[in-house]
Amino acid sequence: MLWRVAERKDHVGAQTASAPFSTRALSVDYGNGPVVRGVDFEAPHSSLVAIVGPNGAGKSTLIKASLGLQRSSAGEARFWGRPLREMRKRIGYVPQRGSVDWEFPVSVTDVVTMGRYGMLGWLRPVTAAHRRAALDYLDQVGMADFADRQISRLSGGQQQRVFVARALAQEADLYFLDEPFAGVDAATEKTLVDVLRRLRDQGKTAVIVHHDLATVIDYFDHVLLLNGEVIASGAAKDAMTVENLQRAYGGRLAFLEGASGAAFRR
Amino acid sequence: MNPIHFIQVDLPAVLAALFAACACALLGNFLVLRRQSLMSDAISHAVLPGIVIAFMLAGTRATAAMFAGAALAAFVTVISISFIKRYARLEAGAAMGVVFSIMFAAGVVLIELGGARNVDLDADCVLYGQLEHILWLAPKTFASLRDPLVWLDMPRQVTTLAATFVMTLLAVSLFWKELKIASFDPQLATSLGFSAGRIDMGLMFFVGLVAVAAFESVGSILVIAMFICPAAAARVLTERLVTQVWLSQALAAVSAIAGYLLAAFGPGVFGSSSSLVASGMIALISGIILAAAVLWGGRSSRRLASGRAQEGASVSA
Repeated sequence: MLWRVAERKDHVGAQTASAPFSTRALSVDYGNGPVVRGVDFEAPHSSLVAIVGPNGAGKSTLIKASLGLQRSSAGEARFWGRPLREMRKRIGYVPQRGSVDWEFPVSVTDVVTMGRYGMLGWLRPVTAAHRRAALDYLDQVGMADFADRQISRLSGGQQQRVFVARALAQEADLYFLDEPFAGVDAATEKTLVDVLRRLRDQGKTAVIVHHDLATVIDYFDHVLLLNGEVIASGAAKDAMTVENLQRAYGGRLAFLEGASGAAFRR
Repeated sequence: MNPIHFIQVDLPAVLAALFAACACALLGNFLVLRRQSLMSDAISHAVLPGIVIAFMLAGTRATAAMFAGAALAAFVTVISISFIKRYARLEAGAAMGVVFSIMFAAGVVLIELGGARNVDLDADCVLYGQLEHILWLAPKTFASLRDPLVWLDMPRQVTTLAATFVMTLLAVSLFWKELKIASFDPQLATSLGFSAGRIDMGLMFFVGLVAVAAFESVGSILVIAMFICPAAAARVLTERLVTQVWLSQALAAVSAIAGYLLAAFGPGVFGSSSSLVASGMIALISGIILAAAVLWGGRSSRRLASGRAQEGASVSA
């Protein structure tokens, strides 16, 4: 807490100093009991933040509610201390790969270009400059050779790279990625981690729903451990303790520990 | 046959069918891609009682009155669906099914009541439309076609459908990017500030507008067929959205023209003096085109082939 206070003093305006993403008492209720309960959270500047927790812990729901894709029942999300509608252009989003129809008749470039739509606004058509920018970002995820390919002819890992290139094309300062590592090959995983680290080195923040407990400490600086409510949040090494994981995962941890327990602090 | 009859009788009917088919098919592309094809079916059924009531009250088939009635019916439909979902605890699909069939049934009953009062609207007209009744009597000779006044006397159904088609085409071109992103990834669209919900409502508004405008001339069977068949066939034949949309327009036009001509002149070729219901024939042709596309079209037949190959592999394994 102390360093955060100090940082605020460094900046003149409190707004620029406030966390890129924060929630206050955020709750979501689908109608049969709350899925997300009173989440208070702050993502630090220039950091890679993992949201970790068991299935049904409300990880995706928390992101969706923060981005206005899902109605929240209480509380609010703020971006650099401001409400979503003022900051929309600075926020990039990568939904779960399975949330779209990959048979849709568009090419890889078409999809990446969609990331530029936000800066275009309503009714303005896509220009050649935006398509060129899209190609640049495709190159960054190693997919330049696939620019003209129809998206149904991609592997799962390639689809995920295209989604990340699309988010990069948004040229945002804060990114939300919903399970970008789910079902991707090792090469893609490495590419994505490199891309995320590059973003962080540029002073950007990425909030990522992550499933693989074994890689959390390796990949991320900061962790939000969630099971409906906040179990723990803080620096990855401090939050990922066996006690905390036990509280988040309950009895399921025994299995997880056996699989990848070496990665946790005891 | 007197060739001027073709201009007076067949041309306006072909034009009405053409504009109706193309307008429906244009929007149908997005319905098919969003897996919302049944919405066109649902909307064209649910608006019937509104259209009938508007017709009975206003005594006219002017599109404005019918559209007002249809909008009212659509409003009642949406309210009833959410009401039934909440209080009868039915899933969305069941609630929609219940409301749409009741609305359509109410419309048919209203027509029968109107029929008893000599209102000129019957159940046949609802299903098949009245393509054959659209007449352009102004041109008496081919020379008179050079007179602009003759063209101004084009039947109301044709001009209404032409205007509807042009409006739809304009809306789709203007909102092309928005329709594309909201159809492919509604969550990203919303997060970028293109509210997928609003784009969806806009699309449904146009589906309702086109359905109501086309309904009187071509009937509900053709409306539903044209929303789905040309776009679904085009979907199978290409992997590019722009190509798909143009292809759907071409297939809709072919269905409309070939279907009408077959219905009007086909029986004559076989020596019969009667003709067939044009809207039914157009719908049938569009269905045949869809079947042909699915059987021999590039994308799906490749997939069928690869599916078979996989099947074979798993059997041999």
